[in-house]
Amino acid sequence: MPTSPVVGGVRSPHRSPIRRRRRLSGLAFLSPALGILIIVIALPMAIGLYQSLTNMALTRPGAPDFIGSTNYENRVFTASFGRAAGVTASIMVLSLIVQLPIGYYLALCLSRRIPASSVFRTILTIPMMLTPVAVGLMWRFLADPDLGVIRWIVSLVDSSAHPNLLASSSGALLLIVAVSSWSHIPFVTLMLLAGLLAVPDELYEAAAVDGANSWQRRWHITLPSLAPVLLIVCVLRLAGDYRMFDLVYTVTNGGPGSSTRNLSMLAYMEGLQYYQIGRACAIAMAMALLALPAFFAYRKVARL
Amino acid sequence: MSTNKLTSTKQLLAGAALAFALTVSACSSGNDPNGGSTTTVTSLTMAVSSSPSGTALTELAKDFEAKTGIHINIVELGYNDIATKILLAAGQSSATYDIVQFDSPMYAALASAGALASLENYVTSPAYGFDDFPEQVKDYARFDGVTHAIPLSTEPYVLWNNTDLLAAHNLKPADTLDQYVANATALGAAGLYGSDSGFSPTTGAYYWLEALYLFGGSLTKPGTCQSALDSAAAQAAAKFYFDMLPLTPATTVNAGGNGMTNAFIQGDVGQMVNATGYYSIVVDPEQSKIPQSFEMTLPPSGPDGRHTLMFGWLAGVTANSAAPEVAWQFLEFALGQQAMSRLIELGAPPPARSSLKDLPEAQTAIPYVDLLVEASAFGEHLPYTPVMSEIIVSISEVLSQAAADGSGADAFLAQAQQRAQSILAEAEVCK
Repeated sequence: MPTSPVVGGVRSPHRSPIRRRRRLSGLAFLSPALGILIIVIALPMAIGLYQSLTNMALTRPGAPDFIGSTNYENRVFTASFGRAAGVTASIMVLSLIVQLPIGYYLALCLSRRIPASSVFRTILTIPMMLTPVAVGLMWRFLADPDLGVIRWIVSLVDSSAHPNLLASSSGALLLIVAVSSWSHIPFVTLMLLAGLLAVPDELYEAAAVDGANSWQRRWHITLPSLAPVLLIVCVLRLAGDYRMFDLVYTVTNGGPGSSTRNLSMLAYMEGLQYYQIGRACAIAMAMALLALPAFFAYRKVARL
Repeated sequence: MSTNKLTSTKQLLAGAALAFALTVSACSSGNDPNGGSTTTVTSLTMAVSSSPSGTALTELAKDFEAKTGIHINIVELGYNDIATKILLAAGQSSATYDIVQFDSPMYAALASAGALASLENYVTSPAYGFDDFPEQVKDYARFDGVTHAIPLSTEPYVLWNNTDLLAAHNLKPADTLDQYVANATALGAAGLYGSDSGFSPTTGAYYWLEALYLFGGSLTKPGTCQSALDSAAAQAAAKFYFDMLPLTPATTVNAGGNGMTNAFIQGDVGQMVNATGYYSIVVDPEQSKIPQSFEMTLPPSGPDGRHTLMFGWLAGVTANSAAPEVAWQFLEFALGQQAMSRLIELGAPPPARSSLKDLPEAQTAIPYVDLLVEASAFGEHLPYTPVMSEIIVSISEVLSQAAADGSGADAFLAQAQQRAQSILAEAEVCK
């Protein structure tokens, strides 16, 4: 009786010692990286998942009790989580709607040979250099209804006007979008500028010879050439706004009411303001699960 | 050869066992079963928060080292991190901090988690002088009947008046809530801000709760974990608070105590009820437009007499400190009855000791010291419960929303009662 998988007198290539050795040595080479991934991603995820199923709280001494899906029932499948998810989605979509066209337009301007374009590029990068907390505090002060610049500008038009963006649900949300856009448009611009500069001039020249107008050149050459960069920019900006915390915390603190409280803020409040680690982990796990469809969609689109 | 090898292996194992035993005994030496130190302590670690009180503690640590030779390492924590870091440190087997400074709203969370050592046996020391405090302040230092911390500063809410604005409109500082409303209305009619209230989505509740206590109400029914926001006092306080909203600076609609104070020091606000701890900002000419033209008086009395809330920094010794007695020595050195002059000299708002009224340095440096002691004598603290921060944020959220969408007092109160009751249902202690 054969003890090795020999088929028709030929050793199966999948079980050949050479292939097995190669696979083992490949795994050996990969193991440091795999180990790091397990330690920094898989293990914390597993611990977070376990904690989300317990009543762990910093204020409760002793080992936490296993409470099953209670945290998910009480903190995830709730109107409050739904509102926060809605706020998160609104910030993501509105920010992208603002940032992409403006970033694209600025990139187009900077791609032309204009005098002192390097100066403009340098100025453009300034918001990127600032820490989000500083940006948030600065904008909060600018939007102050009594002392802020926004009020002063409006008062030039109507001296009796007293705009208070921070006290209106829609105003506060738009302020977050504006601040996020102000911070990230330079990034979008620089990425698209790099994409634009990589498009060969010959393509435009050939199109011009063929009689294409500027709109046609932009539609048929520029945009398709920029598609991979646009996709990356969209993914990075959506991911950034999905997990945004610093700007919301400093500009509106989630208010007025809970009208700008996004998912990150919700998790922060449960974990670090109420000390309920189990509940915070449930929200964080839900956030990770919510992001999965977007991840798979990106992988599918990126393969196209 | 093989016998030699066996012998050397045995020696190796024996050596390893000895090294392990020595390591274990070395790591555990210095701690007796009662948590006291059996070896000479040369250093402690103290967590402070950026504040005049924290700065003073840092300086006092140097004085303590000069006197005793014991060095105190200072770790500065951001206000929002204090409770979390102390709670996380409490879970460690060895002490990250020996002494901690924290704010009174964090007290219940820290004490109920077992992060703080009981100071019952220490506070009776004559050198500390616990009986020098009014009974209300002593009660404010107790969680569930046990003293786990001592007052570092006492900050009752009092009435702040812009004396120039009041005088210009022939108004006097309000003694009652009716007079407060009358003053606010008169100033509002003159195009000024008659009042100053916080509606922050995370801290606004503190200021509304102050209004509730002014009206003689309370957050919970006495001795229970049941919300009392459906009381007549709560309805009166909500109506008062929302009636004052049009007369309050727009900036405070999304702000708490800091925003209220910033609005007050701009000079257009006639009066506000706020903590005494803001004195150093209002009197500072580099920050304030009214350093010489304000006055602090007792909070206005309501239909049920004079009430107010009391907050302030506390200091405690961590439960896992290896040297609690030495840590207490420092607290007694820094905050004992005889230490007040130095604390005040260092610029810290002092705890409300009755003897401050007779201390010349206090009278000179803190003109409101008599008011501080008097207000602290009837000041109350919010019920100490580990879920307090959740209650504060939850009530603040509905307060802020009601102010933003104009739904007003009744809608706010109904939601606040429902939320407070729901959160308090999970609480075991509310004292």
